[in-house]
Amino acid sequence: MTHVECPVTPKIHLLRELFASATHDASTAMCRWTNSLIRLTLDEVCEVPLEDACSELNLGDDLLTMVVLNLEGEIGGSMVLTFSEENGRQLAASLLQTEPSAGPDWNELEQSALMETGNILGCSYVNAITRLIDHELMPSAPFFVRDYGASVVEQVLVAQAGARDTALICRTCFHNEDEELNWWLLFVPSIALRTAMENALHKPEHTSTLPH
Amino acid sequence: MAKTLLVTDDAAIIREKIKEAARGASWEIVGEARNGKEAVERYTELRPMAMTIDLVMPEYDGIYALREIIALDPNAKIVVVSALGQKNILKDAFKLGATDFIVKPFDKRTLTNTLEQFVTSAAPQPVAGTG
Amino acid sequence: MGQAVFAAEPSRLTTIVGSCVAVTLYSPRRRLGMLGHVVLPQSRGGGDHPAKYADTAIPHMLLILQREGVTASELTAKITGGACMFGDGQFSQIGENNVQAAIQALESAGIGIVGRDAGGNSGRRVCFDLATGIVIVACVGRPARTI
Repeated sequence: MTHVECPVTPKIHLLRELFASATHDASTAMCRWTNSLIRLTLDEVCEVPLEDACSELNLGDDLLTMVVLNLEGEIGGSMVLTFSEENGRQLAASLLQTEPSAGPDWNELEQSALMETGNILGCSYVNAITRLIDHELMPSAPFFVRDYGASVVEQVLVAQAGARDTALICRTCFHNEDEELNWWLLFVPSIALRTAMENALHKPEHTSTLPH
Repeated sequence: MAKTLLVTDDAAIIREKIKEAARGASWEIVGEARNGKEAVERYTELRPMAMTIDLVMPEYDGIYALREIIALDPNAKIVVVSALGQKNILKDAFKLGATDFIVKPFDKRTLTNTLEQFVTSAAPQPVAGTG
Repeated sequence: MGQAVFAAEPSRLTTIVGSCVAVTLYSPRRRLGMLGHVVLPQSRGGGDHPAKYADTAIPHMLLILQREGVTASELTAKITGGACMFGDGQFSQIGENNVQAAIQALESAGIGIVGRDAGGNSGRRVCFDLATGIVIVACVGRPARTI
């Protein structure tokens, strides 16, 4: 994927601070989960027109291995953790302390390794956002999907398409020490969740307590 | 009482990690469950000393299982093992009767230390005046 | 997503769809047509982004084709997509609703549907060849299909 450049409004700036804090928590959890130096950094928080979202993210025509979590309820959203096939297998093997399998199928343990990674990362974000908006957020059980990245992101965006022609996308990238990995975490909040976050961020007591 | 454990999580990798850690501390794994409904069925059948349970699971979740199992056995020893660390969720779990809560990702020692409290509390206490 | 593109031979138009529906309209006489990437079934009267909704996308595409001297009666249509790749509740019905709405809109416009590859649980890569009108659909877990 390419790095996306987009205009920063005051609202986007505040949301970036929130997501940067959530990404820090997720990074800590990732290090503990993988027993390694894999960490996350916030790449971009962007408002993109729906018709451009998939091309802006440069998801391409390749099949990706993905884990999807939905946040249930009206104040919800979706998260998509994406890997290339090779990277996904390497992560699963590392978590299971085995050699990467050659495929083409993924067994239950391998799938669960990636799904649980998605669950841990997703819950890190959910926990951070909940502290801010003081509203419970419940993630779904994760889904393991091997498909065209654009088709999965499209299904995620469709949930917002009825009300708006743009979507807010928060993208996080992964590093192993200094090496950038070909993994990405996309978070697409629902319109209601986005409004709840923006309202909470505008309260003076919240802006002063965001950890840096 | 034998150290018997029922492990519930929809993720096979988590079940394996819990099993491995618990076996290392001499627990016998008497059953596994993948969702809340299976957890209730297994608990009813097996009546383990303790169980671990995830919260977010497909179909029937951990909250459902907590409710049902505590209704069946108010003394059930249930450790919630979940990546969700929200204050209200923890409160709800304890209100429903969870005995303890471990946040994922967990390390082996945290899990085994948490389980050991059930062994200590189950050990027969010396009767005053004897010996 | 939410766009409709016009092209003529020897071009090829490609898109990837999940729960969205790709609708191709083709004139065999003129060897030209359009590919619409429909996101939702009903516009509910909104005038912006007509290609986004099945009920407005078909008339919108027809209007563009009519300006090229093509009538509805000579067009053939093919529909692909409308899958549900994960989840339930709000996600499970959108794809099917999109397919049904596209069929209805095409029937209302008097355009014959000559090919369909829809539903299921996988995304689709759709390639529309304007020289022949052939649509090739690639999908995970099965060989590519020609419709």
